Amino acid sequence: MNDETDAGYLEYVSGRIPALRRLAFLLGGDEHQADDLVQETITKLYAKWPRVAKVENVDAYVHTMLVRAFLDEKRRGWWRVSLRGAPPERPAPPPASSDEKTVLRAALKRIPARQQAVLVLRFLCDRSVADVAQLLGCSEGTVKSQTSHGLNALRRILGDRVGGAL
Amino acid sequence: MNNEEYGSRLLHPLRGEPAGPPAIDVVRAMREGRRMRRRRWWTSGSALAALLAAGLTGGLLAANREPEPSPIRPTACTAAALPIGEHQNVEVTGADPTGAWVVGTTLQVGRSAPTSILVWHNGELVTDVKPTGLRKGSAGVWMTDVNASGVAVGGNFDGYPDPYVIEGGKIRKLAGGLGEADAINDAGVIVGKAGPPNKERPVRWASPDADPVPLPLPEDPSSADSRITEITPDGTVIGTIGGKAYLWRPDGTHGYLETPAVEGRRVNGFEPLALREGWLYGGLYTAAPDSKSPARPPHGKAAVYRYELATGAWQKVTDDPEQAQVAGAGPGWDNTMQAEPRVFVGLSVLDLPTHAPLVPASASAPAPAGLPPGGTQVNFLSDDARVAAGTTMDFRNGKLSEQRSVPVIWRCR
Repeated sequence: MNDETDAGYLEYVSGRIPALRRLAFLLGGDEHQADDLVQETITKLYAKWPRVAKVENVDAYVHTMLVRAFLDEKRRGWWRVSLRGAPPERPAPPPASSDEKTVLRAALKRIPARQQAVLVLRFLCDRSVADVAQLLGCSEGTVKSQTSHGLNALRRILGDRVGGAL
Repeated sequence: MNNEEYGSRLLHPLRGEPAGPPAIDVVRAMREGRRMRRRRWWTSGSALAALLAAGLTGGLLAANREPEPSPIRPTACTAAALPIGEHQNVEVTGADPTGAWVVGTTLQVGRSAPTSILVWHNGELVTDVKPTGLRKGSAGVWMTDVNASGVAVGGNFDGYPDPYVIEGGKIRKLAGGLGEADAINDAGVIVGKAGPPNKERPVRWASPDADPVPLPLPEDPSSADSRITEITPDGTVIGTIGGKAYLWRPDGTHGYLETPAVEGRRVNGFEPLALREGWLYGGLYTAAPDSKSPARPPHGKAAVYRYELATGAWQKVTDDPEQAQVAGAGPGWDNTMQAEPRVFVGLSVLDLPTHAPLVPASASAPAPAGLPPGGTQVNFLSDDARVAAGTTMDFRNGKLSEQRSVPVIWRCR
């Protein structure tokens, strides 16, 4: 890789790490996992940079890489392993505000990974249906149906709790 | 309330930013990404290997096994630059177990032309070739391994990879279409992967003229993520599946390598890195029992372990991977460039002398942002530890285009 492409990569990555980290954090809800996802994404990005640098919308490409890395993680099922590996004793209950987050995040993790990604991208990252369709490589109709299925699944898990205490 | 409002309100509490400082290493990403372009991934374990490990060692670390009488290890080495003809920057990419044959590639810093491949025999440059028929925009071909007869294998590793072989100074593609050749043993058996991008699977070429034959895979969804690391003299193929070590034995058995237990830790997996004297060196990744990180390499804390293929014995080399380099480790291992290179030899560490500075102090400038001033990576160590090969890099010219890379050979006694 030559000077110009290396410099281009460094410039691109240094400016984007906060946004990539935020996206990864919102997807998984875990800081360490977020850093792992970003590290994996920027490593693969470097490997492909001479070609990626030439695409029209690099940000969309890189965000797609990150979302796919997240979905791959889910496919590999590391979260099942981590549940199995959890210690039997329960930690002290977290404060109320984070408790709400914990319950929501746990519910989100119980629905299919692509639906998780769609809901996070739509409602936490404020992406449009068209954007999400591009990121996930599917049709806008699929994004809408995944949104609907995902929200219904959350309703079933949580009950109708919007606006109320969880 | 429609779905839009419901979704926004429901998920609103999850909005937020990561609170801690980022643990992201751009230099490591560049180093691993660059290697990723020319090498790949790996896997672990055969049914036999699992039985050996579990049966003979009870699945426990056999680190306390009486060590064999230690072969006499070299203690003093000398460094010399390998000749590079008219080229400017060259990197070592592999060598045969004796160290007689070394392969390398040119670094086309600041230029887009495909790289050249260099082959040295007993320290002399004997081959300097550039493959024909590369796709437009290809960065060139790298050789990843060479055997004691001087037959080298590799691939272009850039999107639509082809497996290549150099035999008698001539380079050509292996049979079977798209793929990559990752390792060759002295019998001429080649292993790698074949198939279109994202659908590659591990294969074996019985000789440089043979068609590839797929290696069997376990019925496991993670089989899609496989890599090939090495092939032993007896034909055992070492790789990874889903990040964990996997072995294909010559008798046809295959399976994940059973990892040793580590007291008080969850073992995430063993990532094979390099083969020497019948021992497979690699990173054993462990985490706290309640860790939420994925239970597979490279997640967790890494220690260097080695596994003896013939006996199933495990030994811990070190808890501190920063202590020295695992010579020949692939892209999954963070071999930091060292100003004063050190390598693991058996369970001990060998200091290697540095090559003379590439940039005179009078002409030196700060390295480009995010890069160290320079250092040495040890890409190879022979079975008898009497020959090592690597690359010394210097970034102190201030610009990446002025980077200097010299292939270095060490001879030890």
